[in-house]
Amino acid sequence: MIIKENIFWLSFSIIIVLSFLGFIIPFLQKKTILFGSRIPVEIIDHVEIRQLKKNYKHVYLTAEIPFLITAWVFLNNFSGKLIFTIILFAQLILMLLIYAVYNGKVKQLKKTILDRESIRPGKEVSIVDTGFRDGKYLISVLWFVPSVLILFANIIILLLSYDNIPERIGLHFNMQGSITLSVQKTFFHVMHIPLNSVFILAVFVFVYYSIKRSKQEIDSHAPETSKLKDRHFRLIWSDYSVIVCTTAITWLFFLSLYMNRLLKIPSAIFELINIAFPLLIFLSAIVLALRTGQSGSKLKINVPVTGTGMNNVNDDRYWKLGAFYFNPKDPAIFVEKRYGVGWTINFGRPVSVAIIIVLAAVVIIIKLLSGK
Amino acid sequence: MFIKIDFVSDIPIYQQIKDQVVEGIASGKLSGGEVLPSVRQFAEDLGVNMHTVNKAYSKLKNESFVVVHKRQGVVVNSLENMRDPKFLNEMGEGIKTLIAQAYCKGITEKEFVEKCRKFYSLFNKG
Repeated sequence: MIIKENIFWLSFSIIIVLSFLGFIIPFLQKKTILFGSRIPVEIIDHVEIRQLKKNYKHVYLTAEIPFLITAWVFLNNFSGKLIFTIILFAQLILMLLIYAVYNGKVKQLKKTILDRESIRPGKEVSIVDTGFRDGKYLISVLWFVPSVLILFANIIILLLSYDNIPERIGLHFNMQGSITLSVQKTFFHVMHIPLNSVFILAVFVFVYYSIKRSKQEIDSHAPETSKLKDRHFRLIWSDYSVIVCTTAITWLFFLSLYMNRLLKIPSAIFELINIAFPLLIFLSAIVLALRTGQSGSKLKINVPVTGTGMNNVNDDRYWKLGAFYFNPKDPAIFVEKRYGVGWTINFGRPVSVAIIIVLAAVVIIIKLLSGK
Repeated sequence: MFIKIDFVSDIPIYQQIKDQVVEGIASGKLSGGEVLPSVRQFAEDLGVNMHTVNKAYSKLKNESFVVVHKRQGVVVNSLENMRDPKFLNEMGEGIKTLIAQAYCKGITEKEFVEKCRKFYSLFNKG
């Protein structure tokens, strides 16, 4: 019952949190990247650059306040998934739009400052560490073993107790845990949830692999510090992926027993987990993102920074809208994001496009098979 | 060890990689047995073509600075295994051009030798 009464507050809070993220995201990057553009180290603290950051905050708030009021009115007067989805997407587009405008502005400003004050920025070089992936920079892949074991246990229990499963089993359920669609027992319907678990496990292993393989993001001005930060950043997020994966597979294990009527879960507990679990993942990811910053920019590293005076190679032109990486000449598939915390793919590579198609296809197939 | 690539330099990228690896070995930043990144990973990190890294690695291998193991990949060779007395003759032409340049620019023999000593002692320390 908690859900129905508070559905408005729940949806509105999600929009508010997103709005806050849009406000803070550009500042989670390291200082040499602003609004998706590489800033020469000579001008990162320039007064006009600082003004542009302030200006972004003002403009963002000016746009968000009327938007949030509109969202409030709509969510209050209409209920339903569709209206929430529309507002959610509108919020995301608005965030990206304002960011993209500032991507254009900062590129212009950078040029203006360098030309006007005839600053000659330090040499542009790319630095990589040959030992970047040595030692502990990722949680061991063996930490996925518990997830695999739970998944196997799930399948085996369902197989062994197949005859005890009643003729009609649940397929869909609502937030309170009442089954809203029952179907005739078939092998596929019984195995429906473990199939989802396989997909989820595969996605997390894929995420783990992309964290491992993603291009090194080393600041040419401070190679040692940025290397340590990037490694620590990867360690933290690979830990987090494993934790979320294991928890999700465990919950699906209980859920599959419940849907096949092998286990009773009190509706209060069911409802609590259904709300608390996604919310906890959403919030913990945000807190973690704020604490690490992009490529570990917010992490404290006890190494004296000795500036080399060199800059990273300017690759602004490959970052469309300051957020989407499209560089057919770069063999890298995974790169660190410019907008947000985490990794993205190089849309200029055929492999990346194939990855998106396969992921989308699997999601659609699972949806179709489960009769949604 | 950090490898620094200058994309606008006249020196080809494979040469920059090769030179820095050799210098890394001489200065002790890379030690025998250390595994270098795979060709694919190195190319992705640097944002260069795989052929470029391959070329650097095969030159390093031909001159026995690295060995290629089937399982481990590209591994820094031990200094003992790199030893090659014939190199003194092989480097003759290269060093002749360098000395000719230095001579024309008015660098004296003493200054030149002094420079050599400095680098040798740097590498000896490593």
